Formats: sequence, structure tokens, C-alpha cells
Amino acid sequence: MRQVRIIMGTPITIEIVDREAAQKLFDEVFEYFTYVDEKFSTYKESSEITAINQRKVKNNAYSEDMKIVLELSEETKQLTGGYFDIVTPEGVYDPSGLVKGWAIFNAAKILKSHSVHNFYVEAGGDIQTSGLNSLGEAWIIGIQNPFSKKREVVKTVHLRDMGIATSGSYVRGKHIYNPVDKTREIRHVLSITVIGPNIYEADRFATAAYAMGSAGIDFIEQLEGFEGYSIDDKGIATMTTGFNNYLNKTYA
Amino acid sequence: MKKTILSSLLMLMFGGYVLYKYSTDTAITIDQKRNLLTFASSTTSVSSISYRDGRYTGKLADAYYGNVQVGVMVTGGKLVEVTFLKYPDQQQNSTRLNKDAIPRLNQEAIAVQSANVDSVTGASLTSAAFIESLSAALAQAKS
Repeated sequence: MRQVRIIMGTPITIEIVDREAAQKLFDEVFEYFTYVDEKFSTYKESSEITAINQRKVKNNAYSEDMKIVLELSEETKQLTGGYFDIVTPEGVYDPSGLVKGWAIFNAAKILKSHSVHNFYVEAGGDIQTSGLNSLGEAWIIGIQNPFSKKREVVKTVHLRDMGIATSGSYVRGKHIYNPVDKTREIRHVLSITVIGPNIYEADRFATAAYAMGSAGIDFIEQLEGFEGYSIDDKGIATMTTGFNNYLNKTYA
Repeated sequence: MKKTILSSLLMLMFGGYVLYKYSTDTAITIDQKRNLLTFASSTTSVSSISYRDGRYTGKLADAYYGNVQVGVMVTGGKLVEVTFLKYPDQQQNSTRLNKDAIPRLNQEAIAVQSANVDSVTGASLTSAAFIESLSAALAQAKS
């Protein structure tokens, strides 16, 4: 059974295969996303992150989840040589590059805690897969054509218990900038898709790799356990050496 | 990028935005086999939202990377079209980063394929500015 709701300004899809899932199971996961949105949305006046950005909250009064997200953001910044940075050119926090993947990861944990094992959770094009699809095969995920606003697929991969995230320019545009030179836009690579052990890891490294421009795919290449597929503005895709392993459903 | 007419899929997505805005507890159910998308809500159904017929323009909203402005068309009380009046330009940066530094990774030209997939990964249309502009347009249309 599959359900979609619009939360965090983006459609969130949950498909559960295991059984005719109870509505309250879907509700619990969707409610979790709503909770995350209300805490971390920089667009919401009432969110904790907005209060922090307006210097209305003391450091020691941050919520536990806020502390976790800020710590994970700092850790990711270190791991990516500064290419992942939630501090915007205006000098405020925008943790959206990390929060979505983190929220999907936690949503998957909620489902697993209810003994649900065959499902996927997708939010705004970032996906955590678990187990197998309704045909008893690895989940088939398409990579969106970055040149089109339609849901066109230019590549398919087969995933089991993996996360996949795409960072790209066409929709969010300058939202992602080069943190090393915050005035500089990233334009050459249109999108980079990263497959990782979970969606949180895939998402944060996709965000950083995208900020690295055409060097981003090299960054993914040297990350153990991650594969990537980047598409440039000439329509040429560059893939990491292990990416081909996900093209075959028997491998997954 | 010029004025862009949205695809039907995006239309459905934006329908979702509308629902999100005007109904707090909405479920959209997709029946993949029948290619059917249904909106269900415990509080409001789609049909109960009625707008005055006409064309409405949303306000220019700062999407950080540029301005976004949408227009909506309402016919028979229903939202039938959402159009981008302004969308950030796709400026190409002529600066090439380290092209020579790319190792011998495999490359291929991308091609659109008709694939049967469970889900799609991609950069999503998640601009709050878009929602802001759309909401402003719909507020005018609300009867």
C-alpha cells in the first residue's frame, strides 16, 4: 500500500509491502515528518531553527534533536572538507541539506520498530529502501532526467536496504552554493545521485558532492560503500566504478 | 528559462500543495496499477474547495536563487492550470572545475528510457517560494 502526503513543502511517499498496513502506521510516520518540519523549517516563524537564527534561544536551551542535527552537520562539514555547510551566506543556519535525509532515516527506523521490513520512504526525491518490493525483487529506482520537469527516467538501479539521494540545480538552483566561496554558483554538474548504506549518508554526501562541481563524482568514488552517477549540462553522465553493480537486479 | 507550462504530474503535485494549504489532514493515494491518484481527507475533500473562475497571479516570491511567480487558472470552480510566470534562469557558469582531474570513470550520454520503476530520485520541486506565490494566487481566487 502506498500513501503520499505533502509535508515539508514536498510530497512524501511511503510504500509498505509487508501486509495491509494499518492507517495508524502511515499516520505515525507522516506525523514524524510534520514534527521535523515544525522544528527545522527555516520557512516557519514558529520553528526552533527560526528562533535560533533570530538569536532567541540560548545554546544550552536547544532541544535534543536540534543538538543532534547541529552535531551531525558539523561532523559532515569536517568529512567533506567544508563542502557541506549549513551556515548560509547570510550567516544563519539552514540545515535542510541534512534534515531531510536524517528524517527519512528515522522514519524507516519507526517502520522497522513495528516489524515492517519491506518498504520504501521517499521525500522530495530522496529514498530509503528496505527489503523487497511487491514483486519480491529489489526496489527499482529511476534517476530523474535533470533536463526535464517531467518525471522522465534516464537510468534505473536496483536497491535493497540502501538509500539513494540526488542533489541538483534545476529545482533548488542557487540554494546550493560553493561554501568555500559563498558567492560562487555551481553550474556545471546538473545533478549527482548517490547510493549509500542509508539515506542519511547518501543525502549528506550527495549535497556535498554537488557543491564540489565536477569533482564531486571523484569524491564519491573515494568513499567506501558509496556509488554515484552525475549528469552534466551537456547530458553526459559520469559514474563511479562500482555503480554498475546496481544495474542488475540479481546483484541487489 | 522561459514561461513554463507544467506537466500533468506536476499539476497533481501542486494539487497536493493546494490540499496541504487548505486541508490539514489529507491523504493522497496512488494506485500504481490503474494509474490512479486519489485525494482523500478526513476533513476536506477536493470537491468542496471552490474558487471563483478566472486567472490569478501570485506574488513575486524570492526563492533565494531567483524570483518565482505563478499564475493559476480556475474554471468551473476548479483549479485547472498552474503556470510559472517567472522561474529562475538556468545560467551556465563558464568556469569549468578541474576537468582534467577527473579520473578514468565511465561516462555515457544519458537517454530517456521508458522504465517501470517503484520510485524516482531527483532534485525535487520544493521551493517554499513557489508555495508562497501559489497560495497568494489561490487566496485571490477563493470565494
